[in-house]
Amino acid sequence: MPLLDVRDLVVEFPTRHGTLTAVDSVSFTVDKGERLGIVGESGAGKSVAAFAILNLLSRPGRIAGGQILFEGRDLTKLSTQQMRSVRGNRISMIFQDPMMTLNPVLSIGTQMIETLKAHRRDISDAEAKRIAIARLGEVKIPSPENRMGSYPHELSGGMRQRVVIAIALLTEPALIIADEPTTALDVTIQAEIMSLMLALCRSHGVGLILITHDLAVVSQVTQRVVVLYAGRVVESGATARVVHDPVHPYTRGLLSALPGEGTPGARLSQIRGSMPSLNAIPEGCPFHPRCDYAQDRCRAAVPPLDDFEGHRVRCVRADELMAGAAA
Amino acid sequence: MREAADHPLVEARGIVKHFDLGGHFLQRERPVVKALNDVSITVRRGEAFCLVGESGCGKSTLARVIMGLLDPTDGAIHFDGTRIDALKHTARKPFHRRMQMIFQNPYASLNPRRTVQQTLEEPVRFHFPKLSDAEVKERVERIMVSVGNDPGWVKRYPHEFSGGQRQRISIARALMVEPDFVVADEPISALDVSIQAQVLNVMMDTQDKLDLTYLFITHDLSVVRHFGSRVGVMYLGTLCELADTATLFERPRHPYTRILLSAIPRISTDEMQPPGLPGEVPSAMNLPSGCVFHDRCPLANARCSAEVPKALPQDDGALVACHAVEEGRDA
Repeated sequence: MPLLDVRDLVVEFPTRHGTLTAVDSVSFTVDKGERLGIVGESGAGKSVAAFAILNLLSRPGRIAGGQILFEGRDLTKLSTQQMRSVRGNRISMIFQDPMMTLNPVLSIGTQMIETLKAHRRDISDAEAKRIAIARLGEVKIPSPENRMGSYPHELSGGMRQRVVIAIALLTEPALIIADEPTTALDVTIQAEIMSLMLALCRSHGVGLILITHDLAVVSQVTQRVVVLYAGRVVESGATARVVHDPVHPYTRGLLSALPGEGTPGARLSQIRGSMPSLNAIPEGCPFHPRCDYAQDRCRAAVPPLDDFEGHRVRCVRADELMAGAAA
Repeated sequence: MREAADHPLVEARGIVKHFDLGGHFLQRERPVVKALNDVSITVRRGEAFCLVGESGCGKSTLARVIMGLLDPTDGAIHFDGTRIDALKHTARKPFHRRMQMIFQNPYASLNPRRTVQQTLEEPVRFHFPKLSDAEVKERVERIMVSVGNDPGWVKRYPHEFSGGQRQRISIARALMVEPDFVVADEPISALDVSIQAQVLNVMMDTQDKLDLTYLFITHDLSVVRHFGSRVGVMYLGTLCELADTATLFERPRHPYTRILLSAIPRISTDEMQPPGLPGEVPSAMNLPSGCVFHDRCPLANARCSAEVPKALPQDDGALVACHAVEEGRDA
């Protein structure tokens, strides 16, 4: 049984102009200790899906369908009280901006001890402090005992994100959801933080959902990947296979638009147009107006997510594209 | 395609920029942020010169000093043979037309209360007061088409456009006054991947068509590799290495450049590795002695902490400011 099994998740935002479907029948699983990447551009629904798992959707967003099975329980059916025993305890979340996560008026140590005591009533102050210092050491913060008294503004962006990771690990969660954890950081710090997260997930046996727009980071960190477009899964499978042999025209477009991959100075291959807004998702395959392979049938109905030995592709021409025959 | 003619268009020589933070009047030493410390670059006509480095390295400050948005503390800036940093505002006006800038955030750099037409017209009417209405209108249409925008959009407001479309409008605004030199400060960092490619393509197309020279500031080295003719790598207000793009990527010499290149994520199943860069970037208010990189450098020795390295030319024309490279300790 997978650790997390998201089945046909639908997230809707009722608005004055009708109901917007931000996440539309999205399914994926994460096994114990597995690292999954969720990739997509702004507006693809990747963060909304993650927020839905933790029941953190801001109003009027709501889960309109599907199941989120985690350790044998359906998270969509839990009460607010029950959800608290899961959120921040069994599942931790890391956000893009550590300054938003950390309380600016409390010292690092206070925040860590508070977090531990909120989830473990019986723990003593001394024990909580010991665990907090140990975690700070694990995320390679120099002289962790002294850092316990520091305030977030005294730390650099990279150090803050390390503290956030240390807090995420405090309660020994089974799953960490990281939403663009390194997007705001410089490349050398990104490499530092991502390799650290990799090592920690492995040593603690923690599952990871890495949400990002960066396919290169996903390829070097995750084992499986889900590509979202306009709220739907367009392709998923083993990361190595998806990044080296992408099938869906959108995934292919994203990969070939990366400047590092082509001949220097040549025109970059680009995907024409832009991601549709949620109130104007095209009929049929949502990608068809931007797709070079689109046919009449693509405009007629949303294609099914076909399974090719674990590599899933939502495209009616997937067979042809795999064989390299489509034009 | 983009052969750089040998004579320079823009020269920044020995630029120093310190920001005085004021401080308390009883403080013996007033706090000063040393943002740029003796940086020299030359941008050749027709090239795309890239400045790379991490947050706080001074790349944007250098661009702003060159554009005249900040006054240098020391040093000189020459544009097309004329020293421009000491010019009075009116004398500098023709240079303002020839030097234009594109900013990072297309949501903040376009006035939300103005239509695209108004945004694009204003600089033309300022710099070319003699043009007739019809000529201005024709130019707006022509430039909109050249950046891949529909000229029918000009009556609309910025909020009606996506990020990529807005950034192309910002590019159009810069191109309206027929500049020679365009500074682009992280022009694609705020955009999605598929849109980044669109904007980069527009920038490359217009460079060929309009004979532009770019100073392109970015933290994204894969963009540099694709787009740049030459690259300057900056760290903590100094230039570590300056080389042709191909040379820099094939043979990075400065230890910082090497670490930076190794940290770029790429499409690969090799797991991400720590970059081997201990510690953190020191504060620009309290610079390390000698080479600013010495306390994080794997090759540093006593000389590095005492003596500031000079940018020395290498056999292939690259400039490298590193004692270890000079002494051959980097092998």
